[in-house]
Amino acid sequence: MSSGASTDALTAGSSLAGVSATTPAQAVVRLSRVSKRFGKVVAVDEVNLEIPQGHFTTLLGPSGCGKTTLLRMLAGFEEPTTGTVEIDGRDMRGVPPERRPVNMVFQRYALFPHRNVIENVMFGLESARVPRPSALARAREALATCNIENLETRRISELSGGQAQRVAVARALVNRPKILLLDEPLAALDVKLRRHLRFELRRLQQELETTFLYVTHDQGEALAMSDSIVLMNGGRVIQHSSSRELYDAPNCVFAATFIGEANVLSCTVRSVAQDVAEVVIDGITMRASARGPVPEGTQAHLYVRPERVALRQGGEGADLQVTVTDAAFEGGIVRYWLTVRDTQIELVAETMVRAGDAIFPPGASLQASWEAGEAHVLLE
Amino acid sequence: MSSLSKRRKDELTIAGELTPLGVVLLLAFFVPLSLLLAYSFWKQNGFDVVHEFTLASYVTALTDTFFLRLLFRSLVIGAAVAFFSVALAYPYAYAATFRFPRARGALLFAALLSMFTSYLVRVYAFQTILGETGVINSALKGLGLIHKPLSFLLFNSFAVVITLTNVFLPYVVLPIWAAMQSVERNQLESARDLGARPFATFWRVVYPMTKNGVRAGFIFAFVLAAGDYVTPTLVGGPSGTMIGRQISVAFGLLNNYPLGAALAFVLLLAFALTAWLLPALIARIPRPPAVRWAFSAPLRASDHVRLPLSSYWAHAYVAAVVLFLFVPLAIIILLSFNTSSVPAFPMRGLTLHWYARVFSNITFRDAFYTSLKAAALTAVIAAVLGTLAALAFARHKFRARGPLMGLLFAPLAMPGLITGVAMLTVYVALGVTLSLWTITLGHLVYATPFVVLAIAAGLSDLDPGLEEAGRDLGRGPFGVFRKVTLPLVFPVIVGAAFVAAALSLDEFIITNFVSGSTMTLPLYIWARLRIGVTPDTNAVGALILAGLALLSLAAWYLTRLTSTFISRRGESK
Ligand SMILES: Nc1ncnc2c1ncn2[C@@H]1O[C@H](COP(=O)(O)OP(=O)(O)O)[C@@H](O)[C@H]1O
Ligand SMILES: [Mg+2]
Repeated sequence: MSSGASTDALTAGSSLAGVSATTPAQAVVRLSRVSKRFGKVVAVDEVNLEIPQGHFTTLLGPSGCGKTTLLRMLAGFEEPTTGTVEIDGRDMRGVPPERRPVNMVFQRYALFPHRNVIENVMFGLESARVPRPSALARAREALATCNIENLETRRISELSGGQAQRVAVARALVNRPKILLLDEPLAALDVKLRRHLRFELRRLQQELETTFLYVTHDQGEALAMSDSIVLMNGGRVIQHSSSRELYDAPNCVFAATFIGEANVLSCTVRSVAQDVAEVVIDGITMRASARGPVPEGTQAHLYVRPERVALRQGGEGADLQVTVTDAAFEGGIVRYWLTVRDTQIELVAETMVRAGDAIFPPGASLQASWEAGEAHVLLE
Repeated sequence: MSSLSKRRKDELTIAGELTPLGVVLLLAFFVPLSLLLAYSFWKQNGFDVVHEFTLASYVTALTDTFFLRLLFRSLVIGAAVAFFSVALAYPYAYAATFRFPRARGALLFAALLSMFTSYLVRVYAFQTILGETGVINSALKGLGLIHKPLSFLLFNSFAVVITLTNVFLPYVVLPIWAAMQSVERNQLESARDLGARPFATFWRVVYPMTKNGVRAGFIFAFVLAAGDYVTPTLVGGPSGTMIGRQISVAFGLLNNYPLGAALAFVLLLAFALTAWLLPALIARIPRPPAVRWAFSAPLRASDHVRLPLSSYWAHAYVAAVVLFLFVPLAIIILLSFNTSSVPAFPMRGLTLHWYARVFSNITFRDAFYTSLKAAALTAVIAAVLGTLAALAFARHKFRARGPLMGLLFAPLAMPGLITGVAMLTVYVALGVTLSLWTITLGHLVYATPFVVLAIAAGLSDLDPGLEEAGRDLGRGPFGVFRKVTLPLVFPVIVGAAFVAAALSLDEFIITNFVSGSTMTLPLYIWARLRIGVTPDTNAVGALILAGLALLSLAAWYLTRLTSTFISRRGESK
């Protein structure tokens, strides 16, 4: 996916914008077989990754999966044990952090307490020996872009969490990095502010067309903000795709269950024809889409999202006969826990409810079904 | 682009940061100790030393019953001092931590302050308090309780133990204190919740977590007390004399360096043996039957989180310890304003006469300026060396880190007497003239480890993200140090320099050996005390105390200020 709607009108005149991305798919960062070991711990394991210019890319994964380590190898705080890191076509081996064309928004912001807001923002420009008048102008512009021009002379100890986060972003962006690295920048904030700033960061990225590499362990955040998501686990990249694709077509059980909720059922593949597989679960035959080669007779998993499971009362057909074991009203939706009749198979289904709709009580007999393309066969 | 790997660069940085202090410690501490060791195997010929191997000095040191008795007495006194210090310090740290959390800072400061307030003035305060015409005797006589002064107060082992306990108590409070802070309140609460009664909570939760602090404090007090020579000289009398005094006499009056060196190493060996045996001894302490009882007794509903030591007693206890630490000093300060020249209460009247007399004395003025110069030099040099070394210890992990820190702190665990005579042997061997510079070097060896500790603590309070942000924003390692690290920890460095100045101002034990004819304030007091206590000595003592108190207060304020400044940044809401 390319970076959403055109935002030319908004960026016009802003000198903060990076080099405009003429070929959006061009990779600004390229990792080849990068590993990082800390003693016996393998924090990052043989990662190959390309990050396209001008995109909002998110590193997503459970805590401890190596996201921060990966980011720190880009920033230059860690050297890979093996493999190469290229930024903007240059091999970064041996290049110290201060000479890399990247900037970072630190997890707890790391604002300098002995400098006020504008002095913090000007720190990088001073390092680059930008003459003071133009440094000041650029710093003010960065504050304006982040909507904090009124905080110019504030001391760091007088900032709220949200304000500190914006100062940290301004301090990094003002240097016009080739890529902005953000390590869980919203983790320390309360839920409401987090949602708001999420949106603001996304808007900022689209305005400036700067490449953002954003780290989070929050799947909701990742889905809402990103052009593409790099899903990691145990130091490895599991899947790199658009948010939509990650949700709709996860490539393994981990991806399916880490993002949103999923019914994952063990099955045996009976036959495959034209990307549609027939699988057997507990004696019942079902159909699901299968990408790539799936040998017959393989033990695999069938997965389907709860909201894609349709429930009906009465009627015949090849649908599953299920019994409601429990139901929970959760506002806009109702969640049902179901058991497939005569089997041990359990399913979760979510359905929208409108005012006046009846909710099936526990014990009710229903028919469950899904569109052929909504269920997928996963091999691992 | 540089051809050096990051790791190689780190190694070079560490080496660069540690070398200056390393060279100073090597030349001023480790080389002298080695030479001292050599001396212990050399032959004494009349008043000369012949460089021939002999065990004669060791044979004398280990067979002469005079020396063996002194050694034994020193170890017993050291153990007694360590025991009383732990017994006093433990409840103090305990009460301060769990009973009076709000006064905790003040109580810690009281301990630190007494650590930094004049060793020599304390010792001489006890001479003033316990002497035949001293404060206690004159008070008792004034009340009509006695007619003849009690002579058993001063000039015996009892006086030595009290005095040394007073001096080294804070050295024991600190490690216990540090260990105590790792015990969390909710750990105590959960112990109670799991059915342990107060005493059992203490014995099964608090004590195991603080055992190492107790051990460290005990060894500290034991070594420093058993190796002392000033206290036995001033308050010990013939029955309270210790091995340290004989070592100092061997290097002074007797001019028998090999014997002195051999005695010093025999003493060190005895310390090493004790430190080695101590854990086994501690493990043999039987557990009181109260523990078993506490577990079998039912828990009353009203027993909330109560710890042993009730509030009433805790208040009284903490107050008593603080008084014990500060009353001797207060007595000296008060007497320095007394019109009478007899050290007795009630005071006759107030006067500044003694101060005027002191300042009109040219010897005093010289000593005063020498002390100021030595303190300033020590502070500046220790701050520079200490900052560099602290950067290496606080910012890098490297294999030699632990051993190197051990070497850095070796001078702290070494009785000053041995450091002092070791340095003296080098100067004598090289024909170096003793001067302000040899004094300053002696002070550096002793003060710099404290400075490194304080600055390293300040650096580790600092969010490492700040320095990384500096790198990320385009500064090299040195630029980050100049623009980020230094401005943030500068108050801590100044505070640490004040501590170094305080230590220098008060240092006596090492100075006494390496000063030659140059005189500092503590040496001036010492010289006065040898001709008997005169009232203007009180004025000099009070001046030293005032200087030390000011420096400690400033240091405390600066380091506290910085840590709140830095940590306020950490809590982003
Ligand atoms: N400096 C380090 N030393 C040793 N182990 C580390 C270090 N940094 C990270 N690790 C380990 O590497 C793994 C990945 O950590 P990290 O990259 O911080 O994960 P994430 O940011 O995804 O939570 C963890 O197991 C962590 O304990
Ligand atoms: Mg992380």
